[in-house]
Amino acid sequence: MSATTMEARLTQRHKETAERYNIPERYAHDPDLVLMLKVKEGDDAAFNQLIVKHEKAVMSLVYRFTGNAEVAEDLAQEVFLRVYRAASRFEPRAKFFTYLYKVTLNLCRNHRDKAKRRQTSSLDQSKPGYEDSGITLADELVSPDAGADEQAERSELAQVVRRAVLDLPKEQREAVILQRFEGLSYEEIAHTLDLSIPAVKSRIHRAKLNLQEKIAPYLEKGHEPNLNSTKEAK
Amino acid sequence: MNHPTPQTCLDIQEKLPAFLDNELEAHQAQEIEAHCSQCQECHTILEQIPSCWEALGDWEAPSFEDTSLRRSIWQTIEKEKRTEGKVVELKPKGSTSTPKWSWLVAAASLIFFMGIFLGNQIPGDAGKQEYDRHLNQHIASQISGADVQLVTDEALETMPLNSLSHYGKEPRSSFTSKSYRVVPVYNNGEFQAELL
Repeated sequence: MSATTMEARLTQRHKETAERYNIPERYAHDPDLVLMLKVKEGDDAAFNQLIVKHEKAVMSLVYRFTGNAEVAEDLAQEVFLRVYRAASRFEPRAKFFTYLYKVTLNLCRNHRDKAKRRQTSSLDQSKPGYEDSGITLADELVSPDAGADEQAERSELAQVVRRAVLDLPKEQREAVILQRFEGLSYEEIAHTLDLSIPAVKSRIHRAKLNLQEKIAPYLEKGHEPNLNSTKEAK
Repeated sequence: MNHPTPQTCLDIQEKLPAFLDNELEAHQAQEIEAHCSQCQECHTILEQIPSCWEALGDWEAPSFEDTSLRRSIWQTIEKEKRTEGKVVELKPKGSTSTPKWSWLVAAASLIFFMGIFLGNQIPGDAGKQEYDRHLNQHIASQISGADVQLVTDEALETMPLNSLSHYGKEPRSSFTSKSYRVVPVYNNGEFQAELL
């Protein structure tokens, strides 16, 4: 089969999908979004495919947002359950993964807010330098990624980077994680965070300066930087 | 050239990320270049920003292998469907919103109460439940045209996940009544049914 024939068939299939679900044709190009529309019709096999495809990405994203590997699976489960429960009301407005990331982000924000409210006992005090991230001393103690062996194995630079990212103001941190670790474009980040593209760029530029301030001393001299001098987001 | 003022440096530094991303106007870019050629501090920051951004790659996320996430999700969904009555409707594809089985349920209720009224006494709760089970089995067979397997809630709870996971095999949207077994489920005495 020639490439032209295959392309024509693919285009035809997209047209049929668009008609089938009554959606703009550009959305028919996103296979995950088509799966989600099947879920909306009650197709649980389609939902299983979405889980298989995105479960690791969602857990990784939760870990980046919270800095806590232990909560990653629990929050990821809640992300998928929310998507499933809301399937009957789903309306395509962007690529599926931006919708999925938006749900993930909202849950991580809620988790952080709850973590802040829990700060009553001494162990629930914010870890110094992590007041904004919601990372508590308790989180650090129980977090599997903070185990003694792994701590020892983890490179010092990785720790410096992790702390620098988690210490960013949350608006900057979210934009940085979506761009640097998830590889989203400015436009995709704007969709996910409900921002304009210039606002996304501004946050990332400001974050780059903050990261330079925190990471460069380590890169230059090999010692831990001061974590208490972050520039605030505008 | 005199050394630039601290305020000038701050203004320049604010623009360095945009400069590195080629997002400045030509005259702004020239201003940055000129400044950095004279100011060691700003020049250093200009050089450090890309290397610090690159260093972020050192922070690796755990692999998240061998998690039970998928199983947990489906177990929760199953539980919610059972406890909140969110069962799969016994409605073949293309049927109307007023399924014929609502008539059958009404008819079954009528038969049941008439049975009691006419003195067909069913001894005790166990006997009543057995009567319900047979009645519901009959209704389910009529509706689905399929073989019917009766299980209790407890048995359903302990069934292997893959036997419950019709989700992974037969999408509901392609439902045909001959393809499914019907499992009546008792929930607070009220008949419900799930398709497996």
